Amino acid sequence: MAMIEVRDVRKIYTVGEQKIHALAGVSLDIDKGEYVSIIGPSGSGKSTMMQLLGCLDTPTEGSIILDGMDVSRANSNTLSWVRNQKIGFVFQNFNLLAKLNVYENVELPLIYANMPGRERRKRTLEAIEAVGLMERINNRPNQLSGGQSQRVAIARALVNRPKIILADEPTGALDTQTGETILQLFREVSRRGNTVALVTHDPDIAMETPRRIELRDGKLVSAQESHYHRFKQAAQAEAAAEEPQPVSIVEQALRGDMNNGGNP
Amino acid sequence: MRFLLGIFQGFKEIWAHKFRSILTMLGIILGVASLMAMFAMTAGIANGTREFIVAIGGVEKVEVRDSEPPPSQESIAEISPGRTYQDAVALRTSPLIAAVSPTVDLSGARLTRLNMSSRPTIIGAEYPFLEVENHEIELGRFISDMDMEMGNRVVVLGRNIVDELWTEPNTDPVGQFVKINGYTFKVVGVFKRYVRARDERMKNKAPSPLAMAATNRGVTPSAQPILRGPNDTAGLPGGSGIERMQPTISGAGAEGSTGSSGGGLGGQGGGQRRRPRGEGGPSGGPRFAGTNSPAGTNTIAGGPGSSDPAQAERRARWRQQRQQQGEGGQSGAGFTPGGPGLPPTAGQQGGANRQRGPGGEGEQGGPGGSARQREMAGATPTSTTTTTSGGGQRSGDPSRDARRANRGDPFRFKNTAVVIPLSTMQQIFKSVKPNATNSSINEGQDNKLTRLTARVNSFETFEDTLAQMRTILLLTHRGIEDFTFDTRLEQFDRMESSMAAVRMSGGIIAGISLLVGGLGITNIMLASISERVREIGIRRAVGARGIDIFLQILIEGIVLSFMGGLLGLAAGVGLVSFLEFIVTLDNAPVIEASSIIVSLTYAIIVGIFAGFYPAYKAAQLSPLQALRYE
Ligand SMILES: Nc1ncnc2c1ncn2[C@@H]1O[C@H](COP(=O)(O)OP(=O)(O)OP(=O)(O)O)[C@@H](O)[C@H]1O
Ligand SMILES: [Mg+2]
Repeated sequence: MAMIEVRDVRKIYTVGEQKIHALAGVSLDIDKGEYVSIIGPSGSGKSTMMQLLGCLDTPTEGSIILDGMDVSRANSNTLSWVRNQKIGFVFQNFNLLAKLNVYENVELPLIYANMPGRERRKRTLEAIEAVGLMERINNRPNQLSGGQSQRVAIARALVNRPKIILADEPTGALDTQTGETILQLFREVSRRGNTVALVTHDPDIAMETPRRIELRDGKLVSAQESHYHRFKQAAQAEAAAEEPQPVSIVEQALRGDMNNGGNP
Repeated sequence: MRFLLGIFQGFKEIWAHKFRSILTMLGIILGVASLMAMFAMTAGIANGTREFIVAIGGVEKVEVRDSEPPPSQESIAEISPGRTYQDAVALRTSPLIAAVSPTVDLSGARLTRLNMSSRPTIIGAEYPFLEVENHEIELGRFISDMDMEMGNRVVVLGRNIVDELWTEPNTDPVGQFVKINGYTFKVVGVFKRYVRARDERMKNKAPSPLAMAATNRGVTPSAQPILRGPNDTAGLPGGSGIERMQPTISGAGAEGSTGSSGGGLGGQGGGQRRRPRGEGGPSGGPRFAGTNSPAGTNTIAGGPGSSDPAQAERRARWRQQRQQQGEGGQSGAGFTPGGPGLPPTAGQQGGANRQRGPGGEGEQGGPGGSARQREMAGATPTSTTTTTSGGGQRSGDPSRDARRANRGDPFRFKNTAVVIPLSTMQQIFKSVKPNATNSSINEGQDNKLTRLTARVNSFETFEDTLAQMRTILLLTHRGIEDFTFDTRLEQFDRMESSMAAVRMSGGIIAGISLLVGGLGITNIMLASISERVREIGIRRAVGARGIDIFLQILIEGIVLSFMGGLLGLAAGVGLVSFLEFIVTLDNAPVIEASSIIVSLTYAIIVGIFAGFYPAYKAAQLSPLQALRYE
């Protein structure tokens, strides 16, 4: 059963007279427990896609069904509820509330879920524990590093135990090293059975996910193949033509990088 | 729970921007403070005026005053005898009137004791004086019927006079002697010390204006429990038959028909004043119907010797009372027909006072008549004895107290009252006849009254009562309308309406300033919202509904205005204390509980309105727009 069903989705932004087709008819399914990356060149509509999936916006045309629920025509309160209950969203720029400390930031979705205090506290601490920030619990966002901030944001995304985790370039503002620890978290989350979709520019990251969805000019290029895949194919073809050695080196290098990320 | 969190959030938000919040609240603070000050001022003025009106006898009091007769009567105005004792006698026949108090004053008399002296105005009064002027006896008794009959040289003193003549505070001078223009008088009673509610407050060291709210509501113009018991009526000296007949009078009168010369009307007949009585002859009591005689004296006043059934009944009751109380001790006097009966003892007085109840604090009228008269009297040296008032009980800044005491203390006159029997006054100080008898006040040339005051039975029949009084007085004045009625009614109405106007305009001004304060809040909150668009976006992204954002902003506005309101209350209390300090008039501002509630409620309403638009705007933001906002 598909956790996410996207059918003929179009998103048209109107700026003055101009109509921008950010998404021009996209259909795709993401199954329960899948770990997918969304890739594509800048302006291809990745973020737009993410916002629609994350119920921050609604499509101009087409339908989006999340966990059996059509959210494309839902009203504002329903969308709020879906955002709160079914989706954890991680932003590139963290989007933490500067006035609240780590604990309060993570607690926020539970407050809007109207969760009673005791349970709320338990869950909040659990989520903070899961991202390993227990000792920074009283810090404000401006007292945290980028990586720590993103971990707080992930804890916040996870705290209400949503089925779907969405992340728009979660490592975009981080250095490679830090980004790796964040990705590790996503991997962890995915392993626990959540459906995870993340937007990335980084082919290495895309390489990590079992499935890649590529967009270009608001259209689906391929739901399975990725840049990296094609790059690999091209490389293999090249290697076949010349010498096979470098391919395995590339492959090994990539694998090794990945393993490094797995065991920092 | 979410709501509580919202309030908590609101406080946090305000705390995070303390300075800005204070600035934002400033409008509310000033608005609430001025609203409160306005309420306090008007409440103070209202209280002062009410207290004053009650102090000068309450709204039920009617004073008969001289006035120019109408032009058509000018040429024959001479035939009117003016305000004489006969007026009092005639007025007492009206069932609509509870009590009539004629007085003759002697101003500038020398009141001395040992080497102490004072120059108060001496009032010659009759028993109803006590009720009409709302006097209360603290020690001893008031002038009794017997004193009036006998023209006894007895005097009842106001507390301030006692303080002056007996230097040690709170003396009991009853039984001692003073001299008035050389004549020796026995002190038989002392009036209560009349203290304004606010002085009481100061005495009790309750400086918090908040605490005053409760204490200051006791004085209302109608708060005069009316006890019209046996003390009500007073006979004239010589049993000249003033009939204060009440329906309750029964055969009991027979027992007490002890007039000095038992002729005339029996006790029984006195009860039915409306029914023409054949018996009793010329002393058959007042008869107005069909009486055309302009010289109404004969028909109105009972002739000398007619007994007073009311008095008789009263005596009977008094006796009964005394027997029940087992007081005894008063010799047989009270039981002896024609003997010196009915000294209104302290016990009796006490009973009356008790029944007057707690509202009694401000019921006293002074010897002066109207406010104007009092002020004029106050200006003369004859009765300026006030400044030495009550050594024992004043506290605080003495100069301020003195200032206050000097400036229109409504109780000044009654605290300096010196009251002797009217008959005594006539005999010793006013009579033109050297050998005046008890009934001499009906004769002679100088039988004009200084003041003639009545207390109406009921407020409902006030107009009717005035009409009847006019009819009666036209008879005694031989048709000449050379009198008017001075009532507190108009004064009271005027006060009420002007108070309403002051309240209204003050309320509008304070309301506008609160409104401006509210606009300030709206403005600042709109600014703070555009500052917090991202925050709103983030909250929406994690599941906040529009209504959550709306409530959050609204609660913030309310918290802001509520805190502003509280600070405004504090500022208002400060402002009121300041006003209280500079306003040395009677009308000290008073903070009432209602004004606090109204001000706070209004502040909160302003907060709701102020927060509404920003909250609405914030809730309308789409999550994405908000998140993208730079
Ligand atoms: N609010 C908007 N109003 C108008 N046009 C928009 C809006 N948001 C996005 N677009 C346009 O839609 C297209 C897709 O934008 P989108 O942000 O989805 O790209 P992206 O794939 O996320 O790019 P990047 O990799 O640079 O983040 C772009 O051409 C962009 O200019
Ligand atoms: Mg993007």
